Amino acid sequence: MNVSTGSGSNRLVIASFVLVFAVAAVTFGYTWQGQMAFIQRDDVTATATAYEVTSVENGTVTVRVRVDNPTSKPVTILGGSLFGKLDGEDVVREGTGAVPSERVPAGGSRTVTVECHFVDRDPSGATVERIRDGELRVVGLLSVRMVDQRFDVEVSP
Amino acid sequence: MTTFKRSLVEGWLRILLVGAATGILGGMGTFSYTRIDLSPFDAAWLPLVFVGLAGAYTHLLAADMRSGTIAMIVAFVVGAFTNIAAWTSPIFLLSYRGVARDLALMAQLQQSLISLLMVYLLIYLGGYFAAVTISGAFS
Repeated sequence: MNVSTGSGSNRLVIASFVLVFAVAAVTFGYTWQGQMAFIQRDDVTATATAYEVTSVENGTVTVRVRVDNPTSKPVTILGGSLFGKLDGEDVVREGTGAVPSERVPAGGSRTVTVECHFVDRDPSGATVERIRDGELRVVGLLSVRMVDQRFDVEVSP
Repeated sequence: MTTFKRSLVEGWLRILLVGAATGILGGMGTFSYTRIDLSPFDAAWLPLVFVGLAGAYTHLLAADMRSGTIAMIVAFVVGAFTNIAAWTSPIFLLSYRGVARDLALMAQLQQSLISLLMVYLLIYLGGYFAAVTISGAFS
């Protein structure tokens, strides 16, 4: 039952093919755009830009992390883990669920504030002083999602 | 040009056109299905329908069984190329250089070949042979 040239059924089959092709092309276009952005996922960066000892009594340190997303798709921060190090030793880490969910637009950047805690509940005065002097080195990982694909972004100090 | 030669050229042009168009449809569907998690659409089955329909249209749009078979071979090659190009083209469009480009290219090629075998081969040929069988039964 191949289509004979010029028949009515021929035109119907060709018209339906054009319609299917158009819908497939739109689906393909969006998917390919996602592929293009996902291949660039290594360009998404997270930087610990600032931190502050907010309360010595409660043992809290707030850290500001800026996420830059130069890709063509937005990414959503899902969570993560942060560590504040002094001489390579963890002295501060993020609280449970402390990394807020935030949508970083395509080609844009967002800064999130993460509340962290001292690992030692009763840190020494020298430790607090060194942190206040800016010696803390904040590193870690943020878990992010692009469309439905998850990946991790390293937090650099 | 004699009438015989003209009809021969037209016949081959139609085979190539049908093969190319349905092959591109199948290749786009295969890529979209494999990377559906990177598209805003939730209907993962939809691209599979495109691949199956590509096989069916190869038979339906061909002038006869013989030219349909040749168009199917053309479509298969074109579809495979479309799928591989969709996977690998971002590597060439982005500024990858040297070893990074080679590694990324190998990873994308591997994924594209897997999708060709697991999706395109089965679904496209399934659609084609289903159309041949059904149209044969009702002719």
